Formats: sequence, C-alpha cells, structure tokens
Amino acid sequence: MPKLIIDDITVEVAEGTTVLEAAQAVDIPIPHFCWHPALGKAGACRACAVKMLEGPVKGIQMSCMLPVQDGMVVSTTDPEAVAMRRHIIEWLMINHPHDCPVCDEGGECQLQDFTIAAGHGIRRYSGKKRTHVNQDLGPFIQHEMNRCIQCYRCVRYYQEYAGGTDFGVMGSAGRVYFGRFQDGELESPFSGNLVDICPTGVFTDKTARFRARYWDYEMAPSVCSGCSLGCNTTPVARYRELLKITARKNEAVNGWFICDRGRFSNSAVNDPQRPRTPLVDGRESTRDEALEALALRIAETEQLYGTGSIAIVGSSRLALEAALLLPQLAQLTSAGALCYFTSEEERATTTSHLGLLSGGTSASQQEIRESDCIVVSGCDPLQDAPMLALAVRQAWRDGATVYVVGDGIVLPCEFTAVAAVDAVPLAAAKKPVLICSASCNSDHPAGLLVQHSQLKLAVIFPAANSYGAAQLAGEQGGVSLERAVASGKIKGIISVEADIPAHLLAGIPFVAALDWRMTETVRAAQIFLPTTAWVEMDGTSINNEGRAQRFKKVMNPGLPIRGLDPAGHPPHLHRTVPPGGEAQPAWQTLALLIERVSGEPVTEPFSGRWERLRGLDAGSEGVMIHDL
Amino acid sequence: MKILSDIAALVTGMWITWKHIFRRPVTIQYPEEKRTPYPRYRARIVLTRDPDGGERCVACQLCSGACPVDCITMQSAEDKDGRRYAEWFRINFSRCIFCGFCAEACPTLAIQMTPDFEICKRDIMDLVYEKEDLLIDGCGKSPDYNYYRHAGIGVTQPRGSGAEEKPPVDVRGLLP
Amino acid sequence: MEQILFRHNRPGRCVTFAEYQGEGGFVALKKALSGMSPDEVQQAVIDSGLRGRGGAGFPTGKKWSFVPRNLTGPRWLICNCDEMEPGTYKDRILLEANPYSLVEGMVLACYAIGVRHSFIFIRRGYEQAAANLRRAIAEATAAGLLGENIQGSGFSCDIDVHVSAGRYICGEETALMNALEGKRANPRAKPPFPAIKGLWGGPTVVNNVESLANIPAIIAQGPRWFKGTAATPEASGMKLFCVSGHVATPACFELPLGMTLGEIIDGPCGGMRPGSNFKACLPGGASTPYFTPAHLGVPMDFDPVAKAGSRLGTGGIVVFDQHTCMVAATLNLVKFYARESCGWCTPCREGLPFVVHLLEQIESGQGSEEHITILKEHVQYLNYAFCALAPGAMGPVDGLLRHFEDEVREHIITGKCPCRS
Repeated sequence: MPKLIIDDITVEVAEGTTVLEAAQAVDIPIPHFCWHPALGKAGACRACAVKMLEGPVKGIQMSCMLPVQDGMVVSTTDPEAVAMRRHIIEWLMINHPHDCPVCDEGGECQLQDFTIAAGHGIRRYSGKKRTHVNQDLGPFIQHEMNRCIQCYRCVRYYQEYAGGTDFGVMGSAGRVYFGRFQDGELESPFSGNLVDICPTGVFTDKTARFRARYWDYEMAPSVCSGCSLGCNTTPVARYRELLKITARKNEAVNGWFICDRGRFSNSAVNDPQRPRTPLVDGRESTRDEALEALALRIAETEQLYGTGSIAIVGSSRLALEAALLLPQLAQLTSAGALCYFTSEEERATTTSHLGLLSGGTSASQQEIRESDCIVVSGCDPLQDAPMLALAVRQAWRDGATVYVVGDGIVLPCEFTAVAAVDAVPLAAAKKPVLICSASCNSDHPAGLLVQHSQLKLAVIFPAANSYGAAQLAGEQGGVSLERAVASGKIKGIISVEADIPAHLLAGIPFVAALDWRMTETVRAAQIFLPTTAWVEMDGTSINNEGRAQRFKKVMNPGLPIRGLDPAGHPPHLHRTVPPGGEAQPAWQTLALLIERVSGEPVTEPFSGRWERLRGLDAGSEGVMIHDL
Repeated sequence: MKILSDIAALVTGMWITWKHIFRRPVTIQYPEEKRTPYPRYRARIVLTRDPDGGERCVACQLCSGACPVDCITMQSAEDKDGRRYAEWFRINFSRCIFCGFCAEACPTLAIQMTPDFEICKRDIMDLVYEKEDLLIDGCGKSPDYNYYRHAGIGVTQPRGSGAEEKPPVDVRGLLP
Repeated sequence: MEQILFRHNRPGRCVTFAEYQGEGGFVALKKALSGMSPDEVQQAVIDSGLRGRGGAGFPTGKKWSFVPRNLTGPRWLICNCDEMEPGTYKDRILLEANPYSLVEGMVLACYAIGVRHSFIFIRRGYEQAAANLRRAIAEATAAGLLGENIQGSGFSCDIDVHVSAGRYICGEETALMNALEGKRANPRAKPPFPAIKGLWGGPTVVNNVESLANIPAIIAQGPRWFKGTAATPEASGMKLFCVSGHVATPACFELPLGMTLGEIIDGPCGGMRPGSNFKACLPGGASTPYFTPAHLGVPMDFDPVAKAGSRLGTGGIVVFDQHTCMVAATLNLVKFYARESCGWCTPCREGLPFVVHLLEQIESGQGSEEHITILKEHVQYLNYAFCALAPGAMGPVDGLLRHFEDEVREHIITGKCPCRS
C-alpha cells in the first residue's frame, strides 16, 4: 500500500490509486474536469495540476494521471501549481460564452466552482470567441455547444461506457464538436447521463429547462421506482413540482448512472389528473370522514356477507411500510384473502424465483460488472431492466464473455448466441452470473445453482417492490386476487396502490382504494383516499437482489404552483395545507384505519424481524433481506 | 462642594437646551416640504428594459439568491424565440430591507433601485408587487446595455454575430 | 566530402535498384542475416552513437533495447515519414533520391528487434516518395531481400506503406499509432512508453526515416567508422541539414555533425545571399528557439545546441536576414501550430490561439507591455500540455523573448512594425 505526503498530510492508499483520488480521500479538493471516477483518467483538461516536490517524478504533474508511489511529496498550494490552474481556467474562459444567467447549469456547474477556486477574474484576451451551432438531440437533452470546455467526458461516457455509436467528437483544434454524426435523436437508452456527466451546461435536462436554480432545489436521497433494480436517485423538486431526477452514486447497485426510463419518467407525479382529495361515493370529503366511512363500510360488508368476504389487496409497487401493515388490517377485518398480487401468474413466478435468491445467491449490479462470464437467458435486459445491460457491458469491457439465450435480444456489447444455457462453460468461470426474468417460467436456474456453487443469479422482477411483496406473501400466506375472486366469497376489496383490472372488480359491491395514481381501481372505488408518491414520503423498497433501500421525502404533496392561477402568479393566500395536499403515505392512512377499527394506535410498521430496517440510512448500500 | 458641582451640571445642560432654541431646525415639514434623494438612493425596486425595448430580466434567480430576507421569488420561462424571461416575478416589499444586494447581483442590469420611497400601504398584502407593478418602460440607470447581445445564445442576433463572437464553426469543413 | 545517405544520389532522378546494389547496397543486410545475431546488430547501433534524426535525438540503439526480449505477441516497427515540421524537407529529398537505404535499414531494424510486420507511415503529399518506396519494396521482395525467409536465413519480415489521412499531429509517435489503429489521432499518455505498450498494445519502436536509413552504413562499415564521420569527437555520424531562407544556395546537404552553424552557412550554402546579413535562424525546424549571430560558432550537434539554449531537432535550418521582422516570423510559425493542435488538451487548444492573438496585436502595433508578460507566462505554462506540440510551438516565442525582446518592445512603443515602411 503506497504512502505519500500531500500538503503535509500522510495518506496510505491502495495500489493503483491516483494522486487525485488520494487527495480526495483526505478532503483536499483538486479541480478537475476530464477525470471521472467511472470513466477513469484522460489527461485532457490539465486542471488537476499539482507540484511534486519529492519522489520519482518532480515538478508540475497532473494528479489524475499519476499513480501513487512511495516517497511522493505533493503540494497543491505551490504557487506554480496554483498559477497553472489559474491559467487553465483563463484558457477555458477565452471561448466560454457569457451566458451563466440563462444557463441551467448555473449553481450546479463544475466550471463555475473551479473558476472561483482557481482565482481567475479579469479577462486579458481581447479577441473573439468561437461559436457553434446546436443540434436537436431529442426531447430530453438540450444541446448548447458554445459552452463546451472540451473535457471529452461525454464522448468517453457515450462510446466507451455506454456503447453508443451515434454520438461522438468531430473536428480538431479549437473547432472540436461533440454531437451526433447525423441529425436526429440520441439513440442510447442511457443518454440522459450526459446531463450529469457534463461539467458545464452543454447537455442539460430539457424537461426541467429554466425551472429552478440549484440553491432552491428540494432534494433528498431516493430510489427509482421504474423497475425492480432500485437504482439510487436524487429527485429534484421546486414549487411542489417534481422537476427532474438525477443519478445518485451507489457502488453496489447502479454505480454512478441511471437509465433514461428512470430519469425522465416523472410526469406521473405532476399529472394534473392525479387524485388528491378523499372521496366518499364520488363526493369530496375530508380524510377523517373518508376513514369513518371506510370503517363503517367494512363493518357493513362483514355483516351482510359474513366473515372472509373482504380482500385486502397490496401490490408489488407498494412501499414496504404499507405492505407490512396489510396483514394486521386483514386480521382486523377478518379478511378472506390477503393479496400482494392481483395476477396468479405474477404471484407464482415471483414467489418461485424468490426462493432461488434466499441463500445469498443474488448478484448485485456491481457483481455483474465484475463478472467474468454472463448468461442472459429468456429476458431482454435492455427493455426490462436497462441498467443490467449497462452492467453487462462493463463486464464485457473488462474481458468477460457474454452469452445470450433467445432471439431478438440487443445488448450494448458483443455476445455469443447459444441455444441453451447448457452450452455455456459455466464451470470454467470464476464469477459467473445468470440473468433471467421472473416472468419467464423456466426451472433452469434452480438446477444450475446446485451444479455451480459460484454462480450468482440476477432476476428481473416486474416492479420496484416485487421482492418485498413476494416475501410477505410467502410469510403471511398471501393468495392472488384472481384466485380469491374466483372463489366467489369476496364481496369487498380494499386496494392499496394495486392495479386491479375491471373484470375482477365487476360484481364486487364494495371497493375502496388508496392510491396516488388515477387507475381503473380508483375510478371504480366508492371510497378513495389519496396516498403520496414515492418522492413525497420516506419509505423502503426491496430491489431484485433482496436489498432493502430507504428513500426519503423530497417534496410535500400538493398541486404544483404552476397553473394554479391562470394569470400566472402564485396565490396570495395563507394556508397550513397546500391545495391538493391531503395525501399522506399509504402506511400512515392504514395505521389510522387500523387504529379506528381496533382502537390500538400503530406507530411503527417495522417490528419483529423487520426491526433492523427502522433507522435505515438512505445513504448506505441498503440491507440484504436474507441477512435479517 | 458637591452641591455646587451638581448645580453646575444642571446649568450646563439647560444652557445647551437654551442654545438650541435659537438654532435653525433640521426637521423639514414633510409632506409639505420634500427632500429629493440622490439618484443612488435605495428605495423602490424596478425591473428595467434594454435599449431595444425587450425585458432585461432573464429570471436567472441571482437576485432571489442574493436577497438576505428572501423577499424575491420568480419563475423562469422561455418564449418562442428562445428568450428567457420571468413568467412571474414577485417582490414582497414588506420583507424588503432595501439593501441593494439584488441590484448588485443582477448580471443584466435589470433590477435597479429608484429613489421613490413613498410606497406605504394600509394593507400589508398590497405591498406584494408582481411583475406588472415592477416593470418600467425605460432603461433605468444604464442606457446602453443589452445582455442578449453578449450572451452567446443568439436570441437578439443570429448565432455567431454577437458582440465578441466569430461566425459558427463548420464542423464538416477542413479549412482551419 | 564523404556522403553516407547521399552517396547513391543520381542527378535529377531516383537511383535504380540495380545501381544501388552495384554500389554496395544490401551488403549490410546479407552480412547481418548471415553472420550477426539480432543482439549484435542492436549493439552495433548502440555503439555507433546514432541519435534519432526525427527531432527528439534519443539514442536509437537504446530505444531498440527497451523492447522486452522475452515477451510473446507481435512487436512492431514504424518508420515515421510524417514530415510536417515547417522548415523540414530532408526525408522527402532522401526518398525521392534513394528509397533503398530506408528499406534495407528497416529490414535490419526488424531483425534486431524481432519484428515481423513493419509500417512506413508517410504523409499525404509525398506522392513521389511513396511511389518510390512501393517500387523499392516490390523490387526487394522480388529479389528475396524482403518478405519470407530472406536470403534463406529463416528471418521474415515485410513492410507496408501507409499513407496518412491526417494532419501534423500524426507525426507525434503515439498519435501516429492511434491513427494507424484507425482511431482519432490524439496522442497517448506516456508512460506506458511505446516500446512496452504501443501499437495494438504490443511493443513498438517508432524511428525517423533518416535514422533508419543510416543503419545499413553502420552495419556495413562498422560503428566506429560511422562515429568517425562526424566533425567533433563527441558527435557521431552525419546529418541531413535542409537549409532554407536567405542564403545563397538553400538546399538539403549531408554534413558531419559538429560542423558549426557559421561553417554550414558559409560553406555549402554559399553564404548569405547578396544584400542579406544574418539576423537569426531556426537551427532545427520551426519548434526550436532562434539562434542569433552570437551562435554562429555553435557546433551543430545535439548536446552543444542544447547547451546553447536551443535544440538540433530535425536539422531544418531556416535563415532570416535583417529585413525579417522577428515578430512576424514568430507569428507565422505559431499560427501553424495553433491550427495543427489536435484539440485534446486545454493549454495547446486554447493557449496557442491566445499567443497568436497577442502576436497579431503586437505586429499590428496594438501591443502593450502586459502582452510581453502574458507571452512569458505562456512560454512557462505551455510546457505542461499533454504532448510536445505546445512546448515546441513556444520554442520560437521563447527565442523571440530571449533574444529579440527589444524588437518586440519597439513594436509596442512605436505602435507599428519597424520592418515595414
């Protein structure tokens, strides 16, 4: 473990660490643009200049290019190094446009931060600036090439990391241009990360254009709910509107990036059609009234149709806290069915694949990236869980062989098509991973896990908390709603964020729904209580590997200020609850209902073996369920 | 003797008061007499226009960020020509301390302070000024500056024709 | 004067294969393949003291010795014929007169290093030289001097002529390798050095045309003889000096290393042309600091020139007379480098146009004292760019500020160029 002295601080680091990373380890910030922890070193921007006072190399060196060696003495404050960094910023400012006020990156711009840090101020160049024309890269990403400082991060990410081929760098000298070779929209399903990667405002989020500034953002660590992978995100909100979603680093899961689907699918939260007011028989009411009515209807249904006539229905998108309270509610209402799944097929396949993951055989995305042999069997990662495809590419870049069973599968790397998993030399691999889908019914994985002890499994589940739903269904003896309704005994359904098709609801006299989306079920319900979306509450979900992750509240629920007043101004009113802000997390509504029915308050959904999830840190790498 | 020094102190005080009876008062009888503040006096805030008649305010949120009492809020928007402007702009003058940080922070010289201090209202909610109450037709204190001529995003002139710009690079060209 | 590379020259045309063979051509090849081991060939080159003729002056034999002996996998030899340094035209003159010395030298080098496939990377625009090389390769292959099992020795190698599709930066050895691999011609970071990890990840040696063309003579007549052809005991071998500028006979001469600058100008160049007095010259191509009349006695060899504050470089001597405005000359040179920047690193891409702008301001009479300070800062900080283009570009600027600062100041104070009237 080589040791070096940086600014009089001694640091010991792992072999291969660069001087820049060693400095970051002791909180010494060194300005940099082209270096990125996920993309490695380039040496293009020359902004990370430091002075090597002693050691195998001497003089001004680029700290991002130098691996640490014993005996190095580094100074980041040496006058020559400081002057070098100031000159780099001066050079970058020669052509940089005067558009900070109208640029979305302002406030979260690495160039702004490092310009102040470098101490460059007065412009000494009196010539003219080079300009570029922009391209229309699609509905998600805004292109403004004048701002480019040519750090080459975008092309290195897009071509090397994400495997895209339609975007790159053209030209030479000061005329280099980063854009699509032909006009059109960006093709890569990971193109949204260009917004996070670009240190200036060349690539900005078009969907959140001109909405707010970084210092006004409401942000909190959260988890994407687009698929079962549970990539870590930081949603951004302002004025009660979810503006955009940015990636959050989690080495074990998504690394530094997220897919476009997770990044740009925030419209459901701001949807003006979102149901926000409690309804009783179509009439707006207060939460108390609605809960009262709900408790009454439950009692009525029990009276009319006997015990076992109520079905409590959760879903695989319901957060864990609420899912954990459903059994208690089922018991109190003498429910005939506790359902975590609507469809029997989904219940059966999810539960059977869950059984394969209980012994710590699940592969995290990090383990996929570090694998040496990957088999994709009977699923399409790029469609169903895009970040898995990106992880497979990283493994391929490091020399792994990728095999695909199935037709019509596209991956952002080369692979060998095989007819069946048996054709793959799994025994020769040290860290093989099998990627399959829960909805594809094959019993291959079980046998393979027995055969190869080092094999790990990555299962693509249908929704964000499928694992949690299946786990609880197994523990509590949950059945599918399909089966329960087919038995004919169910006369009342309490749906908690479930998507129940119309044909199952037909003939059910009493339907109550808790949800944050306008679904068929909500439309058919007699009693409706609004719940919060994932960005409006603290919650927990379990991803496809059985990793429980906490997401935190980003914003308060309520109608976005935009559009409230046709004249455009926010209203001159004083209230304690914003308009449309009656929603509360599903588990809290359930707790109130349970308290109303049983007389006992519920304060904490995590009890028993789930206790360890109580204070779960959103910034951690989560807790593996099989460890509980 | 103490009583003598006490009397002396009393007499000194009363002498100063007596002296001031014959001095010219500095009080002016407002509102019949009014003092005109200097042009740089910091009172009512306005949003100015540029010499070409467009709104200067690009809703960059810098004044809002600089304001020590958070009395400025706004929403930025983009018009059909790509020009960034304020969809709505609100200053709560009951919070404003007239420090001038907003005018100092503004990069387009849009928000400026005028010497108009007579803005009292009976109802405090009348002190919340919207954009139509703040926008004036003139250039305020800076008659020459149009930010968009220097911005580099080509709103008031074609790309590459701004004040310090070369024409756009032809990526497919081979000439230097 | 004895010539090594130019001994086979024919007036007005390229030497033929038969003529070259008749004059001792390919003797070295046969001698090495029949009686010497690769290590012995390499040692001969080391002993000869041959230093790279492409500009850097690194000892050629030492560069060959960096290639690890015991690695499996292919190794590569690249002949860098991407001659784009302004003021340098020696490789073209050589190849248009005699491509065979290079071919023979490359086979010898391949034998010494253990290379099976080698490349000649030639710039676009050297059509005649490329045609000569292709013909020479075909003739040598037909004669069994190139290709499979050369002369029955069991050693095989071949040479591929690749015409560059790029610009000046392709002459930088790592950018050249990127260009050969089909990537953008940005240079690579060193370390790892090409001798360890180069073309397609394998050990690679990149040598200049003139360096490789000297190898046959070294092997045929011995390293000690080669060393003795120089003018001073410290130097070794002869150099192609391509002279241009205000001399009576600007041409490419093969002269012993160690001849002084004054001797070169007064001798083969025939002195300055009528009406011209020596004011300054570039001793080794456009990226070297100027020499002034004070340097006329400097021996033209790598170390003495370096000690005198410049670099021998490619040996492209460009002579300026008293009518030349040094600011304008420097501006012309830096403009070239600013255009040829590859655009990878910030100092070169942005700093060189800044220097061009400053020199334009000074030349047009709008300069100020601050500009001199900024130029000096650029000379210092452009040393920390990614490759050697930017430091090279600042060579003339460094020379301008060191030797002609009064001329610069005269531009600033009078508000116009003193050489234009």
